[in-house]
Amino acid sequence: MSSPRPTRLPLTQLKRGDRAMVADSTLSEDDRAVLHAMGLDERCTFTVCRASANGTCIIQLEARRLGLSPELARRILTRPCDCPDSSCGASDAPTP
Amino acid sequence: MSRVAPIDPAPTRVAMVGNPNVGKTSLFNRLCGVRAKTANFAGSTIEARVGTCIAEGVEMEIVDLPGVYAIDLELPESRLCRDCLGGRLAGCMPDALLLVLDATNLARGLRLFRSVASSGRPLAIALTMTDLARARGLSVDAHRLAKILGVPCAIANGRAGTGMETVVEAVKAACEVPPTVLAAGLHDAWLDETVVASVGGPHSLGLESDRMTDRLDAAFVHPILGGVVFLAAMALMFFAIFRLAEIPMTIIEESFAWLGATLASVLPEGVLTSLLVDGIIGGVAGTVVFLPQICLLFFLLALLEDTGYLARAAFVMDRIMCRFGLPGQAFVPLLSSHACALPGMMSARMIPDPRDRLATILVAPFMSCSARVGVYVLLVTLLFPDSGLLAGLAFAGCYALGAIAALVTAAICRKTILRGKSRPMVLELPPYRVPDLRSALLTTYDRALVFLRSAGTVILAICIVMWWISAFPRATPPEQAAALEAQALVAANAGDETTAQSLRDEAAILTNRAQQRESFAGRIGGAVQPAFEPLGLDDRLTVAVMTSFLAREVFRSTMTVLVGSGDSDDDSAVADELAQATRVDGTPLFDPPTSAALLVFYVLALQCLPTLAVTRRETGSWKWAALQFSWMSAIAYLLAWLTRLLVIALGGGT
Repeated sequence: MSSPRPTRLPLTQLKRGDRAMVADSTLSEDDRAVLHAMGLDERCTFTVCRASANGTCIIQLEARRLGLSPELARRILTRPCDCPDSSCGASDAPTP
Repeated sequence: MSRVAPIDPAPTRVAMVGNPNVGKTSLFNRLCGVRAKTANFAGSTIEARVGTCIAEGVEMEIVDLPGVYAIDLELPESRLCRDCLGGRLAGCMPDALLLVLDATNLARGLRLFRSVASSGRPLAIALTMTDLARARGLSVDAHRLAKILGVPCAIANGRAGTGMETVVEAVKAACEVPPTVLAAGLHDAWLDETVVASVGGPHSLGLESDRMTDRLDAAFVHPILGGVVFLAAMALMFFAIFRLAEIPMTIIEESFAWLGATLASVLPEGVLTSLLVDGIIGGVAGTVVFLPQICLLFFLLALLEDTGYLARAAFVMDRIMCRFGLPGQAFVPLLSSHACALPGMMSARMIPDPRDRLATILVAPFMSCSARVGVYVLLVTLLFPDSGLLAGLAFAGCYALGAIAALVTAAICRKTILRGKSRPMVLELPPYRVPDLRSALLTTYDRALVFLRSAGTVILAICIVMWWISAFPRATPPEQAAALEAQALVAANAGDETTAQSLRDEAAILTNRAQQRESFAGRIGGAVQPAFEPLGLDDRLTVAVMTSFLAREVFRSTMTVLVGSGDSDDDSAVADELAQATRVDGTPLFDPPTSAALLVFYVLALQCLPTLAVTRRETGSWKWAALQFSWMSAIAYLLAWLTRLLVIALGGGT
């Protein structure tokens, strides 16, 4: 049986292939609004495509990839999950 | 009744809105082709492209607004879209909206739809990237999407040029019925359901293309390999720019020279001819000669951007550039400025944050451009006539000094006059794709027109002013020149044309020298010479510095006229001649402290009038151009003075 996963982790601590959802952030309202508009908010699930030692990371949302600087990534708290894909907001939606 | 009438004087104005990287520009280019231009709106530093689309018997004016993630953000491009949609943008009241949605990223696009639909204007949707969506296993049902959203929806592919008629039809249809405002009921659950109903839902996403993207990203954004790949890509690009631009640049130079010579030979000698040949043709030629480099740079950048690579390069370079308060995107404009500051500054448009963009424009002219090379070669040769190694090191040092000055200045700017938080570095990394050649060509065409408009207006006006202060008041030819002319006449009558020509050339040099001295520019040089005394400049060197304000390469020709036997193409001959030049007290004019001070001055000073004109154009204000000139001149003067003191302290002369 696998050990329980921590509930909240900074984005910089996720590994390649990890899936997670945004839990919270210590970003300003403006920065949060920009990320939200780009699709990165509490409703979306993303996949970590690349996590380098210096903290930069690339995540995938739907079919798009976002590159985040270390300063930004370490201020985004995530909730790791075992969701099947990098869906954004549609994980609970019925299939047609 | 249709609001889209057959071709008439008032075409329907359609504002095109969409997220970045959804294929909006390709679609615009397909709809408008070359019937487009870049437009600035009053009160905004962000620009949009405006074009005319004639299709299906209707004429539409299409405004390609900048890509936005949301219109309610406190960002300049969002503000522009907000003002446009709200009818508050002077000269840009849209009759209808065309929202461009990416089928592979529909959820994000639908969020934008919620805000756009609330404007209450007729709205149509162009669904792009459907080929990518299908390749990823998504179904695309435009009819269903149109039904759910309540607005006409057309599938379009700007790269392939398909679906253009249906887009026009969708806009026409949107204008024919009163707009339905749905925004109030568009909650998040609706958004999810719409995505699933229209494209089948993200569970269908395939992963094949992601594996390829992973492999490419592993190389392109790797901390070390990514930097190496970037430097290699840039080296290749600039090699191509220099080599390929060489031929058209020579053709332009020779064409203008031929035009000037032809006009000079057919027009009577006088002020008008001098204005035409030296002022207008000479001045404009000096700027237009860079057009091939500018076109090539923008063409190659457009191709690189379209492949999806440029966003990765900016991401890699951000780690270095952010230490100096600049974003990763600033690297390309700064590197481009080594060819010429003009395209470098113009390519700063790719930087999204206005403060970052302004800082980049302000520091770009510090980078050593190709026009400086001639001056560097001359002064380095004078400084180290017997040591190729030291000369090479000094030459490389000039480039390093310029780059360091640029980065330090950028850091100072971002901590003082341009203080403020930069955008968080979050970059969308678009999918890797084969670049759209047609779109790149249209972008290049647009940039070239912007540059030529600048050369034909502001730069032309400044050239005429500079010509005037160099040409007036007209100096009386010195007696010695008149005597030489008389001797030339005698020699010509005796059939010795070689001697006659030599005497005439000598007389022309004396006349030019007198004109340089007596002109307003020369008098200004004489008047300000005491200010340049600490750098070791006498009145001739001061005049050369003053006249080279138009373009730094003029320094060489002015010096050869003032102290030598006329302009020459042979660098070593010119250097030898200048090395022999002496001051009034008999000491060398180009002693080591003076040569070193001049070298540092030319590395750092903004001796390029077209650069100032482009700064004004790109920043929208002479204020920034004045600040740029003042700062660079002050830094150049201060460091040149310190360099002179240092060389003297090291025993390099007095």
